[in-house]
Amino acid sequence: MYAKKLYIGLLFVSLLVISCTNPLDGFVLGFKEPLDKATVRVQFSLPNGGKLPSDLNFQVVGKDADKIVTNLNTKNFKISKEGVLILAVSPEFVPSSSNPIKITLVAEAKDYTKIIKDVTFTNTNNYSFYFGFTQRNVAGNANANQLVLDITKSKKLEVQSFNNTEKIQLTVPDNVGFLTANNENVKGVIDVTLNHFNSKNSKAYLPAGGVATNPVDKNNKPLAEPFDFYQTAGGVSIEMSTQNHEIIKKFSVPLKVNLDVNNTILNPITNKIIAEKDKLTLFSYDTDTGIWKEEAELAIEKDSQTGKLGVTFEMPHLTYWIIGWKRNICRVGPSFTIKSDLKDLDIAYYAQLVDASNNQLIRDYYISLNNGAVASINFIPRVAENVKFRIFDYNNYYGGNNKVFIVESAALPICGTNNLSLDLSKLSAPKFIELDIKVVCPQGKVLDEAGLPAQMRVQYSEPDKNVWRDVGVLTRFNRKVRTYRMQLGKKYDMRGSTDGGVTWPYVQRNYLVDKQLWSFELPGKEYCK
Amino acid sequence: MMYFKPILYAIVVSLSLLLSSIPLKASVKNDTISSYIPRSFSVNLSSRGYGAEVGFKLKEKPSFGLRIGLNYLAFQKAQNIKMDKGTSVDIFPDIKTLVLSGFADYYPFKKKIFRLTGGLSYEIIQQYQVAFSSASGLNLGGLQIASDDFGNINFGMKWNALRPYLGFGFGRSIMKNRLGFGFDMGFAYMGSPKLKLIYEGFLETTTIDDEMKKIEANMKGYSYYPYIGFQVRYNTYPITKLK
Repeated sequence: MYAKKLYIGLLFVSLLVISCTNPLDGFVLGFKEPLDKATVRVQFSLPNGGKLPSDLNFQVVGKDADKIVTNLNTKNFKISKEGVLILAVSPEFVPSSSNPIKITLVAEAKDYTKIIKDVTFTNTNNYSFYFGFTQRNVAGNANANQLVLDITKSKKLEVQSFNNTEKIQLTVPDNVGFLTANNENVKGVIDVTLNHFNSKNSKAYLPAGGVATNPVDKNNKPLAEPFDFYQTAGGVSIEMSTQNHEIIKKFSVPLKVNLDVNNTILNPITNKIIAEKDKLTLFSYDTDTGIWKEEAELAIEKDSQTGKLGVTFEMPHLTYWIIGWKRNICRVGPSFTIKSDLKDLDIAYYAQLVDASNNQLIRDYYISLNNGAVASINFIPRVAENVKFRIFDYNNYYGGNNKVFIVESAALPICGTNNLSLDLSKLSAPKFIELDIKVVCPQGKVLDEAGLPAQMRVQYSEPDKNVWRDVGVLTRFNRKVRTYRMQLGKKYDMRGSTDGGVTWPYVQRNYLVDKQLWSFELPGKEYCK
Repeated sequence: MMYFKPILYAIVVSLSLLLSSIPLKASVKNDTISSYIPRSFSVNLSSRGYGAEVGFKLKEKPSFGLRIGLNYLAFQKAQNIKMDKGTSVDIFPDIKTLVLSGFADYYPFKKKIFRLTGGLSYEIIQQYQVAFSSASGLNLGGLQIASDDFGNINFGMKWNALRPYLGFGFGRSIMKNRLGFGFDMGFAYMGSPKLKLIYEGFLETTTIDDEMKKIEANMKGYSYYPYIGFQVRYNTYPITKLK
């Protein structure tokens, strides 16, 4: 009887045991290979005490939005705590000029102006954007506003900026069409984002540093010479989009703009305080193409009622509009070829361009000192006849001596193609640090390269400072990188990212670099076979 | 809160069964009681948690018995697993099941102690979930993963709610005394489990989704829920002198 019971019991237990295999059989947790073609990397500013706005609403919209994934091929469009998001065209689709992928990126938060950007992929090239949050209605040298324009009801937009000292007014003509880049007419309520730069300080807010390298005239013909600005008298950048996030680029009939000019600024041509009928130039800057355009010559007008000065112009399309006075600059200046014993430096050295007659600083640079590197001085204003170039033993990673130069060139004309060699063979090479990925396998096992991350970007920071700088990118098959950016004998924090730099989950803190090889140890036998 | 209704419903059903079956007599000499009147009540402790059963005996077929039962199991105590250098992983299990079962017992031997049992159960509440996080972050041999980067991981499993049962047990069908004991052992067939993993954090950078498919395939055979139960039975009609 007992044998029978035992038999039945064993039968049950056996049934359970034979039906089960170890759930983790064959389990190997590897790293995803981030998508690296047709990507768009977005870096958001962190305006809220080093954090993103708490109510930030980020969207990918447009007809091809469903073809967009993160670079880890997921639909989790989460911005990292450092404000980074990398999107990519899904690998199922290959963008081309005949099959472009068109999306619009939108970021909205209550206290900040709307950020909206069209992105079109016509090939597998990558894009990178910086999206800075601009706080609404905060007094300063620039004044940002977001307004709503219902074109069926309203014909005028007016913004009083800078403690009501300067205003900007937009007048919408009757029957105007609001057009997208593809000339599609859009209707409805429109979000208007307006950045108004005041007369005195607008030069500090010029796009592309205010240097027009390939400017065109109002008929889109190239100008003979590049230019920058003596002085600006004000400016505005305007963006419009529907509440369905269609971006408006132009109008069927130009909008009329009235822009006040502060009556205390200096006219650099007359060298007197600005006055009625003074001439200045209207420029536009296209953020999509990077081209400056000389749009028109304007005359300062005086309001008969208020006595305020200002200009009036027509705005056929939306972009940056700047009023001011240009100055022509040299397209090509001198160049300096470096002769040194260095070949793989990944740091840059401080250099100065000075007026040869009085040693006054004209502009400073950080340049490569690898043998054969060329420092070209282009797009420089004609502020001197001849210039000299000085190089200092001071780099952009851990400093040095920026008071006494180690090499100075002979004097060369500021404009024109001239080249000199600069001998830096006396400069001793700094010590490099080599960084590698180290995996210690249990006895009898060897490294399984396929299990390693396809790439690991590595950054370092001074301990606990949380200010991270790139070291390099280690790959599955090239697990060593050489850098001159860190110094022997110092402590650093180091971190690694396997997803192209969105998240940095792997950190080594307060590591003393006491030898030239620093191993980034990956734990886990899953990298062995 | 979402589980309150089915629990309440199960309690009401059990109480109704109990109240409708209060014995009119203390004992009988001949087994003439209707098959629809419960013959026993029992409380049990089993691999399905704790619960209660009502037993019936078929008048026409004395070798057969029927039981209807309800079992409940919950485990939600947070666990903290210590790791290297003062770091730890927090585990938040959320396991909750409420099972309604019907058993048919067959007593093949004269003494009517050993029984073979077949049945069907329905899992009214089925929640097998566990969440992982790390408030301290992790330190794996000098490599650190911050708490935010560790993120949150939620793992869940689900089987068929309707499950056939096969087993055997011990316990008299016709009890001589008011109080008796019973034992059951067997398994319920649940089908293959479906796994679900929701996460944010460092797992996003890994191939965990592919690996989950492997785990699910490996667990295809995890289809039998072992059942071991002990009962304390109260007999409503003890037959003291049955001849």
